Amino acid sequence: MENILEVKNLSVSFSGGVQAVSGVSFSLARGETFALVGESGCGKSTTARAIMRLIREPGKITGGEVRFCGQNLLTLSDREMTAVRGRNIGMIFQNPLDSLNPVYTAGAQVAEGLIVDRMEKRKAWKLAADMLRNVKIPDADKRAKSYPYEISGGMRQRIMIGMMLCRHPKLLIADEPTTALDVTIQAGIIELMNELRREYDTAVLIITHDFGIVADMADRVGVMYAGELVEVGDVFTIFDRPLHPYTRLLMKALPTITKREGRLETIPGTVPDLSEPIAGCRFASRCPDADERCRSAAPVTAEAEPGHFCACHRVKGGTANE
Amino acid sequence: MKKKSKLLAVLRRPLAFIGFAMLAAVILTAVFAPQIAPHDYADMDLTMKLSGPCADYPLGTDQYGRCVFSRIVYGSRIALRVGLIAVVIETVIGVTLGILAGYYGKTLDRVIMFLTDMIWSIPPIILAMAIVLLLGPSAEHVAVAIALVTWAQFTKIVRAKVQSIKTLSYIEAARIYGESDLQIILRYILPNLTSTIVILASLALPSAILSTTSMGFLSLGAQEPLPDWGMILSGGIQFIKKAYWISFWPGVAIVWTVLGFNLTAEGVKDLLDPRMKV
Amino acid sequence: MSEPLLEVSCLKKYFPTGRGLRKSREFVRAVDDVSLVIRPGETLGLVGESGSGKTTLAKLILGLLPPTEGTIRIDGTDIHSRAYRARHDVDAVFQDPASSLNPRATVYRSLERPLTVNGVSKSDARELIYETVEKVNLRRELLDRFPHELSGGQQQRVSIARAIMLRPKLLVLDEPTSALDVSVQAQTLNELLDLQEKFGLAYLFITHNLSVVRYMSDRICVMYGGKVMETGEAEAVYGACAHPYTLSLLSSVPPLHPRERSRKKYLLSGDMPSLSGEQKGCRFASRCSFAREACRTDEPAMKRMGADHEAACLYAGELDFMKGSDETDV
Repeated sequence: MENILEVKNLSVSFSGGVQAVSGVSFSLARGETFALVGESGCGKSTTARAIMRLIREPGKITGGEVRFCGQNLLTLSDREMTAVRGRNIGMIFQNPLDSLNPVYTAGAQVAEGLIVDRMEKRKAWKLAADMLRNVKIPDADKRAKSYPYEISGGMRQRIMIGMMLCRHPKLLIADEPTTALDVTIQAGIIELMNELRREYDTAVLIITHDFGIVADMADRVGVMYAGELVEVGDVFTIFDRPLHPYTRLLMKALPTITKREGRLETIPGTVPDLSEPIAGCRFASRCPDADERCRSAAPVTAEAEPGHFCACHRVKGGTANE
Repeated sequence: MKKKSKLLAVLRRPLAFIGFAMLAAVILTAVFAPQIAPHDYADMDLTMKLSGPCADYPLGTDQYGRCVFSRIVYGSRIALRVGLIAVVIETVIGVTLGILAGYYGKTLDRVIMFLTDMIWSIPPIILAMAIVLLLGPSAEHVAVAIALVTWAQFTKIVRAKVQSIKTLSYIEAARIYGESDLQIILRYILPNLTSTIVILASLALPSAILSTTSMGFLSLGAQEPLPDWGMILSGGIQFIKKAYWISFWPGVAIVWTVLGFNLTAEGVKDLLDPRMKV
Repeated sequence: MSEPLLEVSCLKKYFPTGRGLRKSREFVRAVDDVSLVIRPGETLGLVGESGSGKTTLAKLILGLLPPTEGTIRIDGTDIHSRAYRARHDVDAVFQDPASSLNPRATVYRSLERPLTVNGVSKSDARELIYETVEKVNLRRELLDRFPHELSGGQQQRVSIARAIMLRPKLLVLDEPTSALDVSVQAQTLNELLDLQEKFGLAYLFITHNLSVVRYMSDRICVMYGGKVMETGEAEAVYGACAHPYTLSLLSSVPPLHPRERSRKKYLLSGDMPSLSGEQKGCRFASRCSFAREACRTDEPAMKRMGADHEAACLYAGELDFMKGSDETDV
């Protein structure tokens, strides 16, 4: 399958030499859903923003390539990039209230993108109303004339999705789209996104800290830790045979049991300070399996089995050294 | 350690440094006025009426032959003292009412907010004049008058800040383990208001000094022969063609002081902003 | 079965809507006729969406809000009675670790204050602080730091230490881990369980995370629109829920494995109805896919489903959840 997005060795640093993202590489095929998962501060959102070139001062993209349909986005002019954003790549954010302009109606904001694409006004409005119906907003015609403050959080996120999808982007980036919402609302949004990405054949890059959302949506998964992508693989492989010790521990830390059945696994220690250079593996200080080599040399990402990549010294040749 | 390096970082900015230097000059002048001034502010030399700058009178003399330079030097004491008293009074009134309104809410809040809205709807200088005329003109009464017309801005901002602090979990935790309202205000709310109060006060000071000189200009402040900058300035207006220096130099002193305070206040604001990194 | 530690009966909290001098007679019924019990040493998980009234209920139990009607008893004593005044049986840990601690006080001062306010001498306080800090696995050198110098997990441990400082019998835990990362959450939850065993603490664990509540709870109480929808042993509620709202909540939880993607979901449509004005019938009727005519007119009473399992649904036990929403007649 053809790759529509290829991220190669992407690095982002902030002032004070903080390496927020270092050497992240992954790719997305057409229509595929890829989940970047990790804990706060691991660089997953920064990666997403870097792809959209939305890194703000004092952050800076310090290296790598972001190839979208063969074109390196990092070398485009600001003007060309503006054309890519929205039209070819859509993005939805965690807080659906901040993402909508409070002084325009929902319908106007959905239609706006189409009008920018030189669509006739009346046609754009009609399409916008259709889109609102498509994202399953009850009373879509009435809602199109509502202002964001009159609309609940879950509905706003649906409007954001509609706004992004009506221009048929090839890629939709969703940065923690359901974190601010209740579970019941979240379930609806996930189902909607799963339906629409098939209908529109849009590739989705979803950023999340929640393995449940990964299990529900992703085709492939990338696990990030301290600015690095430590493991990439098919969603079933990652859930059935996680290789990197961090992934394994993180999965066991999820509350999937009751207290009568035992205690959750915990990961000792804390994330390393990213403003200092780290010799060796970034997870070594917290890893129960770490040895001398792990503390001295940084591991290289290797293909442990077809399509399953892992950056760990102890995982070479396919199986984890238990 | 951290605070010190932040102070240095702020002072390294040219505008903050200039402001601080200007302010320091004013304060030193006020403190060492007797040493700096060649004459007493009330000394008259009737033979030297309205004479231009010379070695003995660096900025010339006024219509009574008094040294303009010495009067301006001594005048800095009045400007700073009145400004400071005014700001202290308005801070105490404004912060107290703001905390009460924000913390207790309900009826008390409505009453206090009604008061502030009333104060805000009257032109401050007219209200201040009325108060001074009622109390009788003097520097202290000017300070009181200025405080009474300006506390409302403190109240509004402090109230909003208290309303947001009040909902934080550590206040609820304190109520759970049995702190009284007074203790919560003194131990939890007030310490978290300090930076807001310092910033507000540092911004209020220059405007209080400006108001002081305006009242002096209208002869409502310190009375002759005390050297109020505003009064010196207005006294010189009738001689402006013959002896521009009587009005010009007090004007420079006012602008200098207010500018120094404003630039310093900006620096203070940055200094107290926790988001500012060294 | 032991005597209840906390007994909430027929508790109501109505907030007047409308502002200004003239109060309107409209109310938001944030908590509407809630009764529940917590026994010593047990954890009651309180779940529900935002706006279900669970936080208001917590504030009522903590005595931070006066109830409109109903009583809250701890060991048989009304918490608003004179006899309760000097006691300190309930404390709390809140959601946001950053705002739970006074930013201007060191950790030590934050921990000392609850003791000195309640008449403990400074030297006794020191000993108690050292002892408690050890129990929550907090290093002693952190005592001199300010909250912003700690990580989220450490801040939350300080909050827990402060909450158990006065040796309460019941801790209200209001989303204590939802601002924390998965790995830190696991640590914090385990520590809470250890403390519970050590001190025989009872917990009221409020959360919207159903996996966390399942891990922590002995019994579960599901709230919606200010009312209790279902309560019972955790296993009973998770294994055989009787209320359609519980069913929707449970089926909304994302799967644990991609294999379970195709499971049947009972998605809720629409938004939570407004809680002001006159209420008729079941609060959940407007979003319930099983609702019938009677649901819109008759207020359901608590129906006994098992030994310690009740549901407030007219048709509890009669609905076939496997079959889905075929029976709707609206």
